[in-house]
Amino acid sequence: TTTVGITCKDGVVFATERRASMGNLIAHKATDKIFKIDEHIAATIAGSVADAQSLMKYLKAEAALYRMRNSEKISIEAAAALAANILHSSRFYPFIVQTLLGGVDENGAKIYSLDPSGGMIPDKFVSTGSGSPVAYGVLEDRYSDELYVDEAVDVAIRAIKSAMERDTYSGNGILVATVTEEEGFRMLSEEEIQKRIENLN
Amino acid sequence: MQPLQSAGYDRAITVFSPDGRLFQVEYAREAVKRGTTSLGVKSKEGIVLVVDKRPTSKLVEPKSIEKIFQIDEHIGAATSGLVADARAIIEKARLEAQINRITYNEPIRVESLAKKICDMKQMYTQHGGVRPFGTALIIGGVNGRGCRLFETDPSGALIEYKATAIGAGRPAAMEEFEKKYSDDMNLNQAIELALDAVYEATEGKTTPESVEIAVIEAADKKYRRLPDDEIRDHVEELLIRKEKEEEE
Repeated sequence: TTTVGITCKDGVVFATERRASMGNLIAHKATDKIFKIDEHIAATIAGSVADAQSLMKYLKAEAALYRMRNSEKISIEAAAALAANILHSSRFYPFIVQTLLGGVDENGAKIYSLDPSGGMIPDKFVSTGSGSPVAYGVLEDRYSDELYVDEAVDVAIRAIKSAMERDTYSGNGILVATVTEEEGFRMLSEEEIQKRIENLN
Repeated sequence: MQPLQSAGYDRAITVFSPDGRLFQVEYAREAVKRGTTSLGVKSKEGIVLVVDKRPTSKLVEPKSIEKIFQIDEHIGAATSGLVADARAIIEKARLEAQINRITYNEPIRVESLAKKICDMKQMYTQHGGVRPFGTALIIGGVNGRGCRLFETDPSGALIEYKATAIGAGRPAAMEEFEKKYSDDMNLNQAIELALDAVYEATEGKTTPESVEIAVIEAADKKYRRLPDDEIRDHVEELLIRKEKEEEE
């Protein structure tokens, strides 16, 4: 797996490839590794599909409950803290997942990376999964504090594309989602991504 | 004092009286009868929930009076009776709705949710050391099978309605519903009917500030609390309508 998250001036960008592998076998070729947690929060997963999917369902349910209990959407930090608490509570029988969780709230755009034992670290740009060393090469070169979502989508695609070229466990297409103040969560269409790939350089 | 026949049979809820009644449950129903009026109307375009929330003092912040609750994206509930008990039930209902989503990856059916609430209420009429919930609920929502509207009382009984009311104004509101309800109303007409009923139930003491309205439209299957300006428009329309009726 390779996942990428980039915070921008006007939102966040997440991108992943679509391969699910079991050892050296490509088990699935159209995996969804980006999840919508709420209107304003997205998350990506890397690791055990089972653990990741169940964690995502919990987070989605908790975000919906938070909305109704408080008549207010959950902040990115609160959602990340909640996820960290769930992960930490099964510290000794952990969810085998590396999750990126981010979105936009009153405090602006934010991304947190979460580790299996419940660590929670905010990051400007971050990559997880087996392809992350390759993706980081691209991100370190292309990331800047001045990026807007529209530009960062291309950077994220570049990072995932490179990882797919060199990591055995990454491939089979790209998924991109953005979260902005105006639009909230938005999954980019296949055509949109294809067009962007063609227009790179 | 009570008539001799019921003496002693209202101490524990799990004890039937010789003529087959559960007094504590009946007293809980009484708490609902003394509650404020809440109503629900079903139309082919969606569900309308309306509550009367006249504050007891002008010092009360109107926003803090909560009688309509969202239970899930597609379900809402209007309550009457003990507010504290209502909040406990609502919290449980919200959890059940999310548990259904986690378990089956699909939104809970309105009927299933209503039955879950009834199961819980029923338990409190059969176990020792507890008291029944002094709350009735009108549960409305939209799912694959269309718009559904249910009422539950403290005993845990469940009845599906086209239009119903709970609380002190129930008789007046039901009379209005029986007179004016029609199967082919649109959503706007349903809101009008609900407001007519609340007007009757409160003996004309309805103002834009005294009602809360929520709708779940069949088109988008989404719970939506009407904003203040929309409520104002509806209530002003209602008051004009009533004024005209009186002139006639």
